[in-house]
Amino acid sequence: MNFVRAALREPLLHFVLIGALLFAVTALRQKQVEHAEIRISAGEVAQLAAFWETQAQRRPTAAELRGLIEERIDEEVLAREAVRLGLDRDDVIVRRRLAQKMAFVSDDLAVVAEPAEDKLREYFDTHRESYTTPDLYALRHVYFNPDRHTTLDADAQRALQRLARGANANEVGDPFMLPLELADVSRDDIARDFGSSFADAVTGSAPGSWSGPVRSPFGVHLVKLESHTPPSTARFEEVRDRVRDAYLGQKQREANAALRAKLRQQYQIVVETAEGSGS
Amino acid sequence: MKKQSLLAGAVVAVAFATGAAAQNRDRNAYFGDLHVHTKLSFDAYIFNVRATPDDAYRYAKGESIHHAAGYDVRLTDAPLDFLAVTDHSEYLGIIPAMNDPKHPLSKIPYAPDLFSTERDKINAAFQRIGTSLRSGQYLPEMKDPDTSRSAWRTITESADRHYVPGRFTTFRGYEYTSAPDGQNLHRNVIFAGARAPDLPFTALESQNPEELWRWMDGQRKQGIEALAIPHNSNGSDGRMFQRTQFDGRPMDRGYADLRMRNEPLAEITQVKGTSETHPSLSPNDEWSSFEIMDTYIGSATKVTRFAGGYTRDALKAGLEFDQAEGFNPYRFGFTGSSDTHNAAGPFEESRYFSKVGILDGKPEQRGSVPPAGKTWDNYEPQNNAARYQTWGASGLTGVWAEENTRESIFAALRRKETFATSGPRMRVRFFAGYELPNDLDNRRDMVSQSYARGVPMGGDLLPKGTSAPRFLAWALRDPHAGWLQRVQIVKGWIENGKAQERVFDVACSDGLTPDSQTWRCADNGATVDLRTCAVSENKGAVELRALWSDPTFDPRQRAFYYVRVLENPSCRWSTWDAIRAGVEPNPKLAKTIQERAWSSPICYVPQR
Repeated sequence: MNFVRAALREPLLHFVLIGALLFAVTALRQKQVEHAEIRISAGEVAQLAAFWETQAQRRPTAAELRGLIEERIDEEVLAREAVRLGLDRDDVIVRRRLAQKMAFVSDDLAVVAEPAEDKLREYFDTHRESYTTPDLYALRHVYFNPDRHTTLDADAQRALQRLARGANANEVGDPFMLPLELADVSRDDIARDFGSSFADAVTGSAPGSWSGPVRSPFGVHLVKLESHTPPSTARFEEVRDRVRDAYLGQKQREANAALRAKLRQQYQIVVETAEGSGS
Repeated sequence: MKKQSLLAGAVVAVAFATGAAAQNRDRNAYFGDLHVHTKLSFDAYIFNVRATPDDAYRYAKGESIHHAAGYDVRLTDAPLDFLAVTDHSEYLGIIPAMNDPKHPLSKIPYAPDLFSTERDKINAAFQRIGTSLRSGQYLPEMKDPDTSRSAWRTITESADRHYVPGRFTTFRGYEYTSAPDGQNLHRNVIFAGARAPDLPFTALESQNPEELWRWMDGQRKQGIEALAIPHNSNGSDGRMFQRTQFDGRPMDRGYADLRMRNEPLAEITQVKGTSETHPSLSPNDEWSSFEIMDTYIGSATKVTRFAGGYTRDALKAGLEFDQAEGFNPYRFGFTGSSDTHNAAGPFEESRYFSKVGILDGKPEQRGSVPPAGKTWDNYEPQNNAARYQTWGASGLTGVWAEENTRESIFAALRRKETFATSGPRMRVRFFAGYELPNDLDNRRDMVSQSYARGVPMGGDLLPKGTSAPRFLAWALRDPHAGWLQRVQIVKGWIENGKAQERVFDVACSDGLTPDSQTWRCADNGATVDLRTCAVSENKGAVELRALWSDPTFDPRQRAFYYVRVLENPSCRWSTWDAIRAGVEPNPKLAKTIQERAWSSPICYVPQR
């Protein structure tokens, strides 16, 4: 009894039964209806007329419109016969277009429902790194332009000693177009404007004291790391919308992939390689 | 992309407030692209591009996105600070709908022809819509405001979603695609904030840009602020900056005010060529042949009228109008952008992937590498490839703004405190004033002094008796690109009612100084190895600056001045393509270029 009850709940069984029913109905209908219908809707007639108008720059006459409709009917009849005779097979363009259409339809079949709140929290928990700020730094630097110093490193070293003795950083080094003081920047932010090796040197330096010289694509710098803020993860509430977008995006991709995989199961796929056939 | 607080002068308190970017009164340089197309543009979709506005913003923020030709693209060294997706408003979102079998628009008989992967069919599909845009007439079967409204909503919502005040700015925007008889009058419309109309004003409503500006005036009355930026004046056959109104009537003050109120900027460089000037217009400018595109947009028709098609010529025309009539329709600043149709701008020569999806995504399609089995002895690019080979890896807009927000960056665009680059992120500052101190260029408070005592790029300088102004021109290299070779000041002025121009080198690299007669730097000897694209390591400068006085200054002559910065020569993208393919570079193309930046002009405006 349990087996029967379980079987009745099995979706596959439902599928088979419904399929069998549909088959029976279709078979009956085919006996009743001898001629399939070709219906050209009013909307389609209007579209035919509009298209004709763009070519001719005037509205079609009644006779011309009749001609357009006749052409459309011929097209439909010929197309259906072509399919009946299998002429659509082995035609690259027809196949590509059908595949495109099916891709559209299947993306729609795999619509993802609005996620429950606990699912979003679960996603957030397993993807915390996406909602975590990087290490953030605040720093100062002074700059020495290689074109303005014949003894670049020695000049920088002397300035470093002055800074160590408490000299005002605003009175050291050359004018520079980029900010001499940065706050709230990540290593990547620094690398973007000063190059990677400078970013690594600065973020690796001990906070609170001047060090260097450090090289960059601009010349040499003396640097002082003012502060370092370790990574922090946003609260779920702050990023809920982003989490939802990411969750839905992932579910949609999964659903599309699953549907394609399921469709593939209906086929035995054989790919023949140059060495021989393999599946 | 950083929150910066610049220390200028003696005492500056720095607020390390988390989440709120500190404002920099001396202003930071931010780099962005104000000209980006996605699959919602009719042509991009036909070119097989499927990248969305979200993809465009992701790319700008440094993520990798998919290119229609089957590879991924990414900004390697640095993300952008700001971006506007600017899809064509004409048939906005219609083509994707035609490819949706459930959408009524898919029933249009020629719909399947628009979605081919074959190049001749793609071209035919593109031309069908191009014909509509050249005539300004709707294809009625493709008019569907509901579909366009929904696409516009996708664009504006995406812009708002990706805006991160203080770190990354987005703008709602679109392209008005007017091209009467194929003469390019395209403009990008950039909205200031999070308000925008229900639907854009398109060139199918009117091809006359004056109607667009009047519409923008109407939006402004409702509190919706925007500005328009014309582009590809090089493809307008002299029409973008013509000396009459659209319908041929003479210019008047009302026209000039209408235009300047809505169009304070012009895009000087992009993938489809640079529109600064042309060798026939500037025969004494040795650098005027840079990335010239000499055809109409989207066709092989040759441009024959260069006057009216280039920005320097337009600035000069503006001086003449101002002198003769007392109004100036062309006192604009400069921007640069990509006009990418891949949702991703190709800004680097060494990683160029061009612009139009699967049509030019491979070197063989863009004239840099001969097709298999051919050599340059028996092959010359034709048709599309002949056009694509003249395109370039350009460009970016730089702005000087207090912080990376919509308000701050839009205000910079409005006051023209902008510069354009051909792709690299060199920074340029430019000031003029009568009181700039003698030692300004060696002071650490150079910038705050300059703001206090002068006007920045984009500004107007009023006369002060017969005093001559000083100019501060300052450029810093892109840390990820080449070294600087020279800084120039381009001057236009009125003499005997006629506009003149001259290029002055004002700062030279490698210890050289400009010649006092010719105002040229001697050759600094920088070279490029064409087998590897390696450049001389010991030539060029990290930064160049000059405090300059104009030896030809006449206080009675109205004039404009803008800065042009030149890098050392480096390989053009077509040379990089050839090296990677192991073939000779196309002998018809320049093997190297000099990347550059242009500041917006400062105008000297004597009383009439």
